Amino acid sequence: MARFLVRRVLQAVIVTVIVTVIVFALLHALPGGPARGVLGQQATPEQIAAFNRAQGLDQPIWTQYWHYLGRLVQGDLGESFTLNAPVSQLLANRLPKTLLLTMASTVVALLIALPLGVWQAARRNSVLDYTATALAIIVYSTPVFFLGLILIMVFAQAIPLFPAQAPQGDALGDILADPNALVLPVVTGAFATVAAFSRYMRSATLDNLAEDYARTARAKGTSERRVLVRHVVRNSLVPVVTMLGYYIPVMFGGSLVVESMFNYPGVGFLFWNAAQTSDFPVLLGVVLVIAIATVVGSMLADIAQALIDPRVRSVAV
Amino acid sequence: MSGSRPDQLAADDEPAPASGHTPGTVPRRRGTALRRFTRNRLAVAGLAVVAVLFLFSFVGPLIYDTDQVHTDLAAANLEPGDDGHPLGTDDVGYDVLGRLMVGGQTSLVIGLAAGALATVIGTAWGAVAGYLGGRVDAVMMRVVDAGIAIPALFLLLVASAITTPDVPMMILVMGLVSWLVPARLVRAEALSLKTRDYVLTLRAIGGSHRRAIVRHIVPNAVGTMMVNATFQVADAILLVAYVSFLGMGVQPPATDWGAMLSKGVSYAYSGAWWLILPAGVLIVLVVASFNFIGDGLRDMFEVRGKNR
Amino acid sequence: MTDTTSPVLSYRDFGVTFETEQGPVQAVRSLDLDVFGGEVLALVGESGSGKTVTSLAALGLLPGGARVGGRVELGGDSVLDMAPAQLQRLRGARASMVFQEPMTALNPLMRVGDQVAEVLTNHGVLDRAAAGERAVELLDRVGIPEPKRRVAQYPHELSGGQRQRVMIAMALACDPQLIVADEPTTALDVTVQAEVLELLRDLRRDLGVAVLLVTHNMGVVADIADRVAVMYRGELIETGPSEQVLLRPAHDYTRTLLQAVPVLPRLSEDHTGAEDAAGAEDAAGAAVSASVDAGTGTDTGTDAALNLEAVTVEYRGRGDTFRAVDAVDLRIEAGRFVGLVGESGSGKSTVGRCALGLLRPASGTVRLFGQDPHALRRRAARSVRRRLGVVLQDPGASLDPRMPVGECVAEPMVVHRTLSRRDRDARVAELLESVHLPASTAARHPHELSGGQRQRVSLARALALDPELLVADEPTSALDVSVQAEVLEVLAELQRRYAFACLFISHDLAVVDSLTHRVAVMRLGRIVEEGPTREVLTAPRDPYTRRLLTAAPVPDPVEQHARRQSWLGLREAPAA
Repeated sequence: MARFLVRRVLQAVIVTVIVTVIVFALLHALPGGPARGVLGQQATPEQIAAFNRAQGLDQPIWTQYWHYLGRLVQGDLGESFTLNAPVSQLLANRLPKTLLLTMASTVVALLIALPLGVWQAARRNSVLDYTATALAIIVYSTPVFFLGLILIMVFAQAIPLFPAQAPQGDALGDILADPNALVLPVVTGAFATVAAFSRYMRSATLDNLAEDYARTARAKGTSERRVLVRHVVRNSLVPVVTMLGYYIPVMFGGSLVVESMFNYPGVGFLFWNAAQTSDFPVLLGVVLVIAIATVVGSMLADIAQALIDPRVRSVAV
Repeated sequence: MSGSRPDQLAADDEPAPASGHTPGTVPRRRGTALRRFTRNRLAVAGLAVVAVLFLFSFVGPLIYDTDQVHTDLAAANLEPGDDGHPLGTDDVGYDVLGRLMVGGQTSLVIGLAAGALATVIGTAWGAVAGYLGGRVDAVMMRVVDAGIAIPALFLLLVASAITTPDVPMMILVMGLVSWLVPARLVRAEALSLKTRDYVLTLRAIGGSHRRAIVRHIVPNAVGTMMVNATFQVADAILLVAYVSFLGMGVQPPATDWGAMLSKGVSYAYSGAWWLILPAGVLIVLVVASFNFIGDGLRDMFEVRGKNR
Repeated sequence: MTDTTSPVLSYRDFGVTFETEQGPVQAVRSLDLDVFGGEVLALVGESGSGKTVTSLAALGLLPGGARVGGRVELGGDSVLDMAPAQLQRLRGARASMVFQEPMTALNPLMRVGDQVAEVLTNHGVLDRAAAGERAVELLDRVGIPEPKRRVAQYPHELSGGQRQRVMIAMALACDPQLIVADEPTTALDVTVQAEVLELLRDLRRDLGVAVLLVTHNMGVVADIADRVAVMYRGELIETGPSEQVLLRPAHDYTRTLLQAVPVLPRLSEDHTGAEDAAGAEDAAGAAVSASVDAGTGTDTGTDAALNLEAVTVEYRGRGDTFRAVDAVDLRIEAGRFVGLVGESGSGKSTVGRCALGLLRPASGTVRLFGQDPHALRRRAARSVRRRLGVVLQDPGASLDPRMPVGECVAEPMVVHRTLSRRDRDARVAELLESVHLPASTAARHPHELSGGQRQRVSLARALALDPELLVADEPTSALDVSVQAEVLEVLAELQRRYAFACLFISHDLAVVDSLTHRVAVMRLGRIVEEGPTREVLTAPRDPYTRRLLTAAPVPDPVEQHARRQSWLGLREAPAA
């Protein structure tokens, strides 16, 4: 296990370094280079030249990358020129809220999706199974914002059960203080995840039901229900946990849309506003942090998989 | 993902005794592949819907001619049916039905082209990484991991903030951000295919890597590729819609279904349903159709897998 | 052993039909069969004979798409009419099952002790705690060492033989009247197979349980069965006591089946075994004539077709390096057939990969026709490889499923740019005919062929460029015996005609005997014995070779009894 952990962490570090290279490259792809990115679109050529000299942008690209990494390590992501605050500070304030929203959505979604997938597999090829599958594909194909709009029109306007605006506030506590306002954003975000994971779970369960060990269990006189619950479900979770790791970037993408729709004060909303105003330090800072969060998340998913599966655990030893 | 075709059993082999699975006696024939597709009703329906939407978007404007370039504030915000506008007009006077046709062109063209581009890049990258294996593979896949770690939507918005988004630019950027998943899939496939006896045999008698990849790996990965390409198109159309909805897509007078929805939102709350419902429904229809088709293709190629 | 009492299991007019996309397929037709208490009844047949389907019906385990007719009675109760709850009470308690693949038959995420205990708790025999303790006893009973430690382990921590013992422990747990064992030793090495058969024999003697043993292996039948039932294409064609069926078969099919089984020569009692060494090399290879003149056989020529010297291969991974092949020397003279035999994990296939230049050894030298394929420039390497032919194991993967057979066979010619397109087609037809396939096969796809046909196509491809060395890695191990016999016959015939050298890798000593001049026996990465085939097989010097030989069952119950006795004398502590 220790060896596995070391290898997996090392891999994550390498991926993170490649991510910084990509973001660094984006920084240099900005019109006018990083100077305009930092100073804003209105900067004069003189200002840019001065900035370049001051920031060492006339130095070789590798030296610049090295300095960039150095600043990152110190938590320096630059300064937002529309919000007049360090990007790291903005992120430190917003990221927990985004994690709260995505995690709530994901937990709600998985609580529905996993049992649904197992249920469908148990009733495979029945009318109900087909209906659920078709519905899942349709939901999966529905843009999150369209779903959100419909939910708002129905549950905030036609039947005003919940507010159409997410809870506001600077601290995480303010958000949690208004759970009613969290309902629509969380539900909107959960829909696509339910659709995706009920399908993964269904197919993983079906694969496992056809495995030899399931037949062995039946031949022992195990009831079909117990074969599912005691044998198949756990085995099916192994690939599903892997998929969960792959799914993290999709969840962040979804939160960007949900946050923009409901004015939820998270990273996605911050990013969207920054995109409107071409606030590049914020944009690239968010990209970097989201990417690192994704790398860490998929690493955790792999570790979770190793915890479920003794084979992975011992290969790793 | 287990992508590989379960190996063909001869006609005289014993039925697979495992329950829950169709017996393995079925000899594979070309005809049955097509039958497997057509048996999936939703896939056939999806194919029909896509065909109709293509006609609607590309042939429709020839029959139902509207001005989609110049705004006409005098005819803004008309309700459906008013003044010869079956689906009304939007806030700057564009006919909504005609606009849906123009928007459909953008959505479909970007979706198809970006999906194709992503598939080509992903296949090449994945096939090479999987086939060569070892360190080359490790490095190439870490690059893919890094790319996947940055959600495509975020990258697209950054790209839109850097340049002015138009159709070719969108295709290019979308292709460049969505090749990662197919690369991963094809790589897994190549990894397993290259240890097949026929590839080993070819290598042993002096066949080139090139021949192994071009004649054996890629043709056998075609099923996986086709299925994934179809899903990729669906994803690309959705992604275009997201970018446009967030106001960072193609700029007026050009439009797409996502942009129409985005513009309609504020009016929709005050009851102008025709500004969002038709566009939204069309997006769902086309994306779901491609997903259904992908499902049918998966049955057809018997690609078993967990990717969706 | 045929009791006059009523049978434990009986089939009457039993039939199974599967609905497939191509219409109904009748897997079993009006079968009548009885299994009596305390006997081992072997149900034998080749793939597609319906034997597995028949055995699964005893526990009502047939797949959903099966239509069943007739009656199946277990202790007088009709299995086919039982409700799911009744079936559950029967399975594992009154009748239990041992499956073929011990690697996949156990739940990978559940401790083996819990899996054994589950049978007991399922049937309410014991509570959880007591079942856990009983699991330890059961593992002990089936000969698993340190059962207390093993119960807490997961299946992947056990060897294949141990896993199959766990399966048997589960089958025993509730003292069933009947154990159905579906090819229980097919996935195991011969030495492990002998151990597991010994265990089954033991249990039958001590517990008096009836065993329905499904197998394709006539040696296994001779070893353990009291009675034999032979199935062919869904029909039961012959039933009788083992000695009668195996020695005096009544049905033509049984006779051909038995004739197709390659037989080992009788072991000489003299353990030094040098007496018939002289000339043994050429006398051996009953099928392969030594068409090369005697002079080539000697090892004076510097350019042997293949020469491995001190070849060592290591796999790095999981922290430590694993030495798969350890200082192996092997030489194949032009025109000679050399067998390389070993159990799984012995490193024989790795040696094959080295010989093919697909794997670079960590140390030692590989010389193909006197040249090192890794040291050569591309051009020269190609011209060396041109002289190679390859046939690999898996008939399902030996041919590219997307390529028509003609293209598969022509591939070596395309790679080496010999012949024009038209001449190639003619050559393909000629090659297909030389392996007894019609020229029209060229237009078909591999999936339209049977396993045996596919391996013959592989053989045709291997011969496309008139190779001087053929490397065949278990080319027939996935085939039924009658099909195997055909393929081996074709191979021998071709060798007589073209006189190529061959490295023939196999786990089956009997196959090697009929085909090769010399044989090398591998164990744990080393060659433990090498010499003229007949000499090694009749008078082995190495104790492992001897154990291997005595462990391999032969389809003659009388001789097998003798072999078993000598194996019992030789075996190591039963660790498998």
